[in-house]
Amino acid sequence: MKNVIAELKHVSREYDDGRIVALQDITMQIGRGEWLSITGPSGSGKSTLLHLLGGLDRPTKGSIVFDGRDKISARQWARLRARRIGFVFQSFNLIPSLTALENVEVPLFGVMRRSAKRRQKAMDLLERVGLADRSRHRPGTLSGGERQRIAIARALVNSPDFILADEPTGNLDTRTSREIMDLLESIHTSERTTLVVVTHEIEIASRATRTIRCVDGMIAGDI
Amino acid sequence: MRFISIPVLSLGRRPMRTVLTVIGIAVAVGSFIALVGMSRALEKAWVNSLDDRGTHLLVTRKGVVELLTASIKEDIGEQLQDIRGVRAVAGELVDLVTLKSGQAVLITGWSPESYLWQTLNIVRGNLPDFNSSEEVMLGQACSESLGKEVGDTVLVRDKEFIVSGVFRESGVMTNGTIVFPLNVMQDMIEKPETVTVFNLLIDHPDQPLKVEALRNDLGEAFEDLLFTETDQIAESNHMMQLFRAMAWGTSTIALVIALVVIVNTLLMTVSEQKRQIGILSAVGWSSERILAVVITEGFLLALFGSIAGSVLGIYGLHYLASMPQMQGFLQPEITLRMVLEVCGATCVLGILGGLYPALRAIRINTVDALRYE
Ligand SMILES: Nc1ncnc2c1ncn2[C@@H]1O[C@H](COP(=O)(O)OP(=O)(O)OP(=O)(O)O)[C@@H](O)[C@H]1O
Ligand SMILES: [Mg+2]
Repeated sequence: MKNVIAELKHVSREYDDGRIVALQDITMQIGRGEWLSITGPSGSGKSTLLHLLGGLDRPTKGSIVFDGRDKISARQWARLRARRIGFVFQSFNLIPSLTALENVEVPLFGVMRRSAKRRQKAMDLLERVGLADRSRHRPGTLSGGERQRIAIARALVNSPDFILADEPTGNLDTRTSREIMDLLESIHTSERTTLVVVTHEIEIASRATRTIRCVDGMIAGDI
Repeated sequence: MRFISIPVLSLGRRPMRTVLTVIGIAVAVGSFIALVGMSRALEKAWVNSLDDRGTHLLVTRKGVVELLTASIKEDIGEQLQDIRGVRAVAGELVDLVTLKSGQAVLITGWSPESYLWQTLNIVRGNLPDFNSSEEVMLGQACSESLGKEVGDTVLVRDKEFIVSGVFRESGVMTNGTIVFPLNVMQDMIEKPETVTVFNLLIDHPDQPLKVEALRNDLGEAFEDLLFTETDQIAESNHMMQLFRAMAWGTSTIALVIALVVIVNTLLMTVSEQKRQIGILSAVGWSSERILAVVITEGFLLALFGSIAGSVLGIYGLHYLASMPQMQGFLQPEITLRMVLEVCGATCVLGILGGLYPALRAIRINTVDALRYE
């Protein structure tokens, strides 16, 4: 593969001094602008893999290279997440006491100094996901699909080139799932963003350009 | 949205706990202000009463813990008068007596020729008739609290005295006293030819070098006596030092408790908001920024606590000063500087108190935190 954005070299993630092996000796590359889905049974290590790719978790063995950079420190990972990596979770992970707009603003601290600019930028993103009219609502008053769109707006607010989504439609009905996937895909197409989505749903996995199947912490298939 | 919204909202999520914590800090700050203010008021009361009389140097016996129990031979006054640089000497006998009504009153005796009589602002009546040995003067605060006026009689140590006049001084201490002719008081408390202290007027009170030189001369001539400048009296008095130490000690303990309360509250906040911390980390917040959220929470608690505590302390001290037992003895003595210093120190405590919970917050594993419900 020529243009690689992320690479895992013999990566393992173990718990309890190796008694539990979540991932075992994974070596793989993700190309820039790729649309990759990760499938596999529950407990097979999909989420662990995604967390490692965004530096939320660190491997116990092996190394991860992001955009040519090796040996990335916790501080550097935080900086990468602030500027280049966007996360979307199954359970949305919005801050309940903040409004929709404020939730989208959160990643802009440390990136944009002026509060008015942050606000404007967050508003642009809410418009982009079609929720400008919900900007003052708190997550508790919004539907699951709306919450996930706000979470996506938050993931996109710093214009990342690497989006990691862990079962983004896991809590949504079929129709809303399709809308959310359409949104993610449109971003992938228009911005040439690399998109990595963990999913159980064959329909979603089939939309990807490449699919990886995890079984027992190892990669059982790569098509 | 500004950064400050995050810690503010975080504190607002448990309003009752936040309010209780603020009250805890306020009580600590308030007791600090009230107690230390009280100790300063006491010192000031002393200095003021000496200032009114114009006393430059106060002569006391060396090694005496409680001034009231000290005694000096009255005739030492004549020897003091002979020292060059001493303009006037006034012996003074002081004691604390309990009246039939249960009130404690400071009584003091001055000899008829003492210059101290001239320093009194007489508001009603006259100086006592020094030939009668039955007349006394009351300070205004004393007159009010005893309900005695010119012509009334007061019973002190089973003997009746007629009030010849009432005076008013700005020093609250003098204002609460009963003044006797010296020989009358000496007979009454059975301390013949004795005084408690001497007040000295000197020739050049505003020239520190000359004052110092005179104090040296006096110190050499009278080895068992202590010569203190008026403004240092409160500082060098042992009772005053004891009271000051107690005031500082008690209020320091209160502030330490405030620190513990802050740490406790923030540790709870951090563990409850594990998930929010995980989210902030997932969207790329640096450890420093997350640290700053928790420390700001500590700072805000301390800030609100100090503001509430200042109000509490100032009212508390006024209340203490207005209690009947005080008989107007104390004027509340709170300076803006002192309030600002206590508030500043408390805010620093808030920041320090936030530090440990903040370090705990950034050590939380992000993946664990996101799983936390
Ligand atoms: N903190 C932990 N301590 C111990 N074991 C863990 C921990 N986190 C994950 N594991 C284990 O690692 C393995 C992989 O977990 P992971 O969450 O990656 O699975 P998954 O493929 O995402 O499953 P699901 O589809 O249910 O989300 C599981 O067996 C899990 O029990
Ligand atoms: Mg998972």
